[in-house]
Amino acid sequence: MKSRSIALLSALALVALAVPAGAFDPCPTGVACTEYTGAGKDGSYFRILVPPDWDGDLVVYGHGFDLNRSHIRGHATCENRGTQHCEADTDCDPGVACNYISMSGLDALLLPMGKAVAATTYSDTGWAPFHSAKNIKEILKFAKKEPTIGKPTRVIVTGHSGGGAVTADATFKLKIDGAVPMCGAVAGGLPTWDTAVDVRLVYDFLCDGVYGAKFKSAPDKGEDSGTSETDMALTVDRCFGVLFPSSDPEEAAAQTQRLADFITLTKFTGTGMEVLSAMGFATLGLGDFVYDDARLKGKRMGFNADPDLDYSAMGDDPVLGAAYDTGVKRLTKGDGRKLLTKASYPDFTKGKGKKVAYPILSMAGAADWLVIPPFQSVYDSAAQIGGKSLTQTWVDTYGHCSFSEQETQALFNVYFDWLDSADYTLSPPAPEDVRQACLALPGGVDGDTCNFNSGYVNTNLYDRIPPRSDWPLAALPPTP
Amino acid sequence: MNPVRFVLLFAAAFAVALWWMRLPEAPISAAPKPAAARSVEARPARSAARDAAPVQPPPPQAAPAPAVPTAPPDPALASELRAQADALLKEGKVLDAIDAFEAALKADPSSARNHGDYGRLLRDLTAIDKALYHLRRAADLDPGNADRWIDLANAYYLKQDPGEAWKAEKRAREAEPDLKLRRNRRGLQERAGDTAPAGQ
Repeated sequence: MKSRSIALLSALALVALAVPAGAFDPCPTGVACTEYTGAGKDGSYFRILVPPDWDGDLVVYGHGFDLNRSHIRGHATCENRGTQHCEADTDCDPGVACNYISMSGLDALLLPMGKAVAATTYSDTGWAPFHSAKNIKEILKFAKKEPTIGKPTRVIVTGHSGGGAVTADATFKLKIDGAVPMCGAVAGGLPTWDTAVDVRLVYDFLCDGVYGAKFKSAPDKGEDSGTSETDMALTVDRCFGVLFPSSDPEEAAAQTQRLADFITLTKFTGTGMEVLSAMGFATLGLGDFVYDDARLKGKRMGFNADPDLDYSAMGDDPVLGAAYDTGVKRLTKGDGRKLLTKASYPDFTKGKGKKVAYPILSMAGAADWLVIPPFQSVYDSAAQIGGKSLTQTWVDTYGHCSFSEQETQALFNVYFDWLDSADYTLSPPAPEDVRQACLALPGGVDGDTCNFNSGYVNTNLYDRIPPRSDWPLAALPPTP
Repeated sequence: MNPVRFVLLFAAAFAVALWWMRLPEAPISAAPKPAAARSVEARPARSAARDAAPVQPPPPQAAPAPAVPTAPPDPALASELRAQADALLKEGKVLDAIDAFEAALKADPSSARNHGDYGRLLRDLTAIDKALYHLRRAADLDPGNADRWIDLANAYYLKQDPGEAWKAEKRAREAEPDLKLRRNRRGLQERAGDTAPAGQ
């Protein structure tokens, strides 16, 4: 029976790889390339672009957090109809999009440099590091077996946001040759999702008593798939009134006060509108992997009790902090935490992480409201503890991953110069070097398209929320 | 396993897979690579190809979408329904407003304004994928309007896909060569000179 399954799977895999790509314009304007599309045996799909003068480097791109399962399908196929080919949304049923495996502009920047670029859909929605290393391996396996590609000389992993988490995870699980996380959720599974749960706990503290604003789910399990983004946003809006303030002036004032308290306690740097998105991650994003049988299997992941963690220092208002410490829901250590540890655990002192012998160049937003700067401090500390070469750059921009083309081009130009240097440990680039590289590019304008902040000083995650005892060493405060 | 049974099983599996994929061509040999790869010479690509009308029809392996009888467009009704949606939004009746927008789009699927207004509402409700769909349609239908492309770029930023946002920004500048943009507190692009940041 087992061999029958394997035979069928192999046949399907062969055919899937043979589907003509034919999607959109595969190559960026004015650049020649060959496009390959395919499906892994693990349920992921991928797309690879190879330039005619390929220098052997393959840059694998990981997209950001995406809860839409219909995006885990072949490139250029309608999102509701199996393998139906499309080149634009209008080729599909009304209201249905044509799936596009985006390389987020890296194809236009890197193909002219002679680099091949690949992108994966992952096999998971949302928090992908549970299986993303395997998804990347599927691309590498395909490239190696494909005579017109062959084994890349070097494999560099990169990605935005959740793709940054995938990038960081790849440095701990895969034998690769380079990593460039961008606005990456690189703090590891536990610190990242403890932060999300703490955001939800603040919300519950302020909003559970507000009519229509209470979430049904446990704060450390999140919402199941029955809750839509709109349901979530409207629930949060009843508490904070960021979209549609109450017509009752007294309630509207209460909404404003609750939003102010939320921002004080969480030190949230986004606007009220972004609170909706942040709550989406804390409810829908969490539930997406908690209820998944292939990930947390319904197990809770909270942990702020036994012993009770001290929340009194949270935020900027000691009185509010003390009230919160008294009123916050307490969650014993959830059984899901061990599983979540496997979905990225920043530690360069063992396994593949210990063997990392390549430089890492990271770019993050100094005012990122979602992937907060303290997440970077965990990964940066892990690299320092493990003796790895990492340069962290900061971009002064509001929003999350709102980088310009020039900032991104400068990052990769500097990175490949660094990677190509005879001894990368001797001359690591400083953040100022990346800033200067940006300004030297056509269209590179200080304060407009180039916003690198060479002087930014980060803070620690353990100063933002109470650290948990099972966090990686890099996330914990130094022991006295 | 008996080798004959294995071959038969493999052939059967292959046939099932071919049927499943509905490939137009002869069975693929053990060397599927040339079919998977497509060489493309350097040439001016369609800008924002994702948003443009298809140049070629879908290949024959695609199962045609079921034909849905459609009423002729009724722009007057669509306009009325959009006005209803706006009024409902002012009353905070969001779900009813969504229904009104859907009805307006049914009445006139080619209204860039309806797609654009609905897309912006969905964006604010964090339903980014649906928002992107409608904002792409709006930009397709009204490509000379820079604001449609700015809306689309911003939705891509919220989707954490800056590369697609850059493409939409370029289309905005093509539509309006003197366009000046600046980032607001949400990290989104807006016309320089606007005072109220988007969504505030």
